[in-house]
Amino acid sequence: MRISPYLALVAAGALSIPLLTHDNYVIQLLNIAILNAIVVLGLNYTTGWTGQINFGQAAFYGLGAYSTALATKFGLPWIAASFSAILVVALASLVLGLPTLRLRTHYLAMTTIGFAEIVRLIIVHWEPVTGGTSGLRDIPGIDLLGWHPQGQIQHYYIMIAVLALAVVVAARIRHSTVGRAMIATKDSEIAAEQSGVDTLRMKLLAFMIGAIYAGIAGCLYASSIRFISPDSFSGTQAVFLMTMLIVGGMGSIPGCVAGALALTILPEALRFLGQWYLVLYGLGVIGIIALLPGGLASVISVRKLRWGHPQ
Amino acid sequence: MLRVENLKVAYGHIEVLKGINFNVEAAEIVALIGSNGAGKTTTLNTISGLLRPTSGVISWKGENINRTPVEAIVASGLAHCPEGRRIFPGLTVRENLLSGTAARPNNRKAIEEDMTLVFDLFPRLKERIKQLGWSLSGGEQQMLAIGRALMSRPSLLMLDEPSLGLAPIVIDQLFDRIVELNKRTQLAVFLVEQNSAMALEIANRAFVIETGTITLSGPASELAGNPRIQEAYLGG
Repeated sequence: MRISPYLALVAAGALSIPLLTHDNYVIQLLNIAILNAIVVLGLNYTTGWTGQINFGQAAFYGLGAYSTALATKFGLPWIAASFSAILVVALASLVLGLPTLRLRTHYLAMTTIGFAEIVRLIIVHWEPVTGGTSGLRDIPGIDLLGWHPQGQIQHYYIMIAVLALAVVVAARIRHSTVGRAMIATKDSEIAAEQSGVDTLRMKLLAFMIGAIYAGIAGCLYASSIRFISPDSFSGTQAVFLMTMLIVGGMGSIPGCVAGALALTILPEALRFLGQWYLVLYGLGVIGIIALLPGGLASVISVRKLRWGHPQ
Repeated sequence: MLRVENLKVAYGHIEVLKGINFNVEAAEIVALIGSNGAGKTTTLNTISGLLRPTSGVISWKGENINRTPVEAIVASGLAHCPEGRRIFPGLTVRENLLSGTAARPNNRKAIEEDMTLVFDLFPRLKERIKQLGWSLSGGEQQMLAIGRALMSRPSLLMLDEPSLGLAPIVIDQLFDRIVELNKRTQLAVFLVEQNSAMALEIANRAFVIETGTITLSGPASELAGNPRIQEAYLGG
């Protein structure tokens, strides 16, 4: 943990942001960025560490959000609703993962796209329950043992706390037997098995942990924005999440967070350009991929190399 | 300790191993030599469970392991160090070694002891402990691959072409280490090599495999003196 001074600096910065701005729009944007960061950290287990391509992550995000919305609207207490939403997502990932993770790379990519499409179609067409394309409104808010956070800033602190937990869990797993086994599975499946790693189990575990991350973020999304519609969890969103992971730096925890923050905030920051913002945005993404194949995370390691501390 | 009886393996309709028999006993170094495509790697992959035999018996410590899962075979003390090394480029040297312990009980003290043993054997790895796998030289990667296999605490180590792509001086050092390891820990070694001269130099016994059939076997020194072997594998 040599980077702990930096980590402390980042944490202090994150905690003091609401003191610097009271602009609700900025805080809400940050809240969305933090939720994206949690979802991307989840995607990193499957794609960044275990090397499986997963376009179903946005669907798990949506599944978590809709399950929470429906359960709280039905009258379940918030804690019970969020736990049941996470359970639904975990079960869905188990049922999807068990038969499909035997497939390799592009076949898995196709099945996850198919799964995402099924989830989307159900949300759009099961109107009496899901509200169809117009979505669900007036979702009950967060209720933590009687505390109801009000306003963007209180929600911001909840999101930051959950993100911090998500990062700590990811870092602990990365440096455990399980984390090494995941990366071994990506680097060489055959050698991993010859070293005694059950690669199928590792892929399933990574897939499920990743889905649970998305489920938790979905739950927070539904209960903080209090309005959800299928657009937020579409196939485009899945590609967007994958882009955040690549731009941030596959396999790097700070990279995941940086990628999600950058790509959530950038489109808003470029909004003054009108229609041209997409052009600049696209060029920016291509530029990062071309110049920094390791993503934003590699900036740190490149500087380390310059200082003469090869990793 | 390891007994292979009438082992046949096919890729689709093409039979690659046509009923081979051999055994490896405790504390022995046994070499399997042969040219490209003779079935050497197939033999190792079948024993370690990556391929399944069409018929025959692989018996390990008295048990039939024809259908045992790969991880369980590793856990039972049969380690396979694969051809082309296949270390994990995205993990550090230490993490590569630790990943070799996936199949054994998580006893930290015993694991650290075994890591010390690997570093005694290959001090270069200790110097590189925090480096990522991809940044090592070919020889260091081979040491790492062997070290990783040793971390599973095997009683038999199967090495597939450890000399592949290495400079002659590095091969010499590597083979010295393998002999040292065998002497020090009584570890049995099953060595598959195209570099027949080196293999016959360190082995106790050897087999020659030609297109899926074992054609010659005997003490390594005897095989090294065999005119046919000298002509076909030792360059006259």
